[in-house]
Amino acid sequence: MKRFIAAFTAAYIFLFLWGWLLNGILLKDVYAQTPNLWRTQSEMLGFFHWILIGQALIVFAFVMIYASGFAGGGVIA
Amino acid sequence: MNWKKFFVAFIAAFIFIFIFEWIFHGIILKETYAALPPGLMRPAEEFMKHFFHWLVLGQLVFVFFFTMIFASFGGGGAAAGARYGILVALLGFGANLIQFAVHPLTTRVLGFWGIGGVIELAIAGAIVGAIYKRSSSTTP
Repeated sequence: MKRFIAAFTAAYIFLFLWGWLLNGILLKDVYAQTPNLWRTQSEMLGFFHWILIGQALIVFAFVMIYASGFAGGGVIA
Repeated sequence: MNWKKFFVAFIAAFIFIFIFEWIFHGIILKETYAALPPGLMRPAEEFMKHFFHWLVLGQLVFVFFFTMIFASFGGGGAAAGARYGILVALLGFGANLIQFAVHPLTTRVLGFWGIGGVIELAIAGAIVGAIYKRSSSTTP
């Protein structure tokens, strides 16, 4: 359980930073070319907590799958 | 890896996913998608003519790795497969929440995707698990 929480926290921090760098900075201008596909910036900020919850759910399931099937060596073993 | 079992499981799961998604997205959610802001979804004609093969390719890639990851566990039967499918569905629902936050989708679409995803992948996982069972000759 302790390892699970540590892995979850580390992976969550990485995913949050990576998502911010990739989608918030690197792809910002690319996304701006298709405004009809996106919520407005101010509207998106109102939905920001859903991004955090979504990322937490992704990381939780990701670590859970790893812990269930691969923690003993998995693919490499 | 038992490749014969892997390919049988992969094909069976792909057929299920293809049919489920056709019914779920193509029939059940058709009107819901039609009510979304114009331009968010491709027009049906454009989609069928130019992009349908991408959808099939996407399903193939998804099911291939869905089966591959489960097989890498060493298999485990239908119940283990269903549990695995539910975990993958939760992962997918996390991505759906992010899509909801950034695209002008509705809570109705989000709710259907969440419920549909769990049902779809629990069944797909059970199919893969039932076919790719653990056996003494199967090595992970």
